[in-house]
Amino acid sequence: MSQKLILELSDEIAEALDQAARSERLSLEDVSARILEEWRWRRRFPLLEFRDFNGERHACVRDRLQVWQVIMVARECGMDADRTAERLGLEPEQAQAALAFYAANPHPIDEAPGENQPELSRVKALFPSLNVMILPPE
Amino acid sequence: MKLLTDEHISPKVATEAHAKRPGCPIISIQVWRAGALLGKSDDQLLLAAEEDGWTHVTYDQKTILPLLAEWDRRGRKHCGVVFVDQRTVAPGDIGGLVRGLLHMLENEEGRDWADRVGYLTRGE
Repeated sequence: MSQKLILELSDEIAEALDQAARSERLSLEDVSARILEEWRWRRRFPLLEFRDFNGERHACVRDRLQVWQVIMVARECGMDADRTAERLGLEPEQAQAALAFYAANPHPIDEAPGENQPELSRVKALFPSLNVMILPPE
Repeated sequence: MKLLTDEHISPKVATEAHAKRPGCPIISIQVWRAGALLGKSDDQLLLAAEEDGWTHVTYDQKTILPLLAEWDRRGRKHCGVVFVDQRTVAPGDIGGLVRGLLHMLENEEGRDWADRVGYLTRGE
């Protein structure tokens, strides 16, 4: 479900939105929706922020790593905030914020593991001179 | 080859590698430059690693692979990146990662890793 809103903005804000839309190659509507969506998450999770990675926006622990990376480690820590924080050198509150964000918004993060584990053949296609190193048996 | 572990890799990996092999060239980003590169963009990180001659070790294929491909196209220099596949060593498997990195250092000792891309796997 979505609703259409008409907003009256100052010239300065409208120009800033226009610039953002052009730089992100999005429509004014899409970039405005994206900014408002991020604003809503940041109000709810002040320890998180959104940053650009290769043209995609990702939730991150403020001044630290991306939330999907926290979750990657948290899954091995039984989704326990304290253990995850200890492993990553985060404050427990930061790990807790990442876990709570994930609980509230799992879809983009659930997609990350697949995107993060491409087949080796795809990596070789990108880098034909890839150095494949085999982990020795224990 | 000198290895710089990414932010999602526990700093204990570097600590335990040093306990196993004192003086080995492995450092965590949490310690390197007093953590100044934590939370910085991958571009900034790779540039700084290049300045100091560190090869970056990461599980982040999602964002760093396309970035490196872009750097490659533009002819931008870096000091090497090694990707670790989650299916090979889980990020929380500190012992497994220490073993893998020390093995890599042994095999690659003295080799120039400028602009090289590595992939640690269990094999195909």
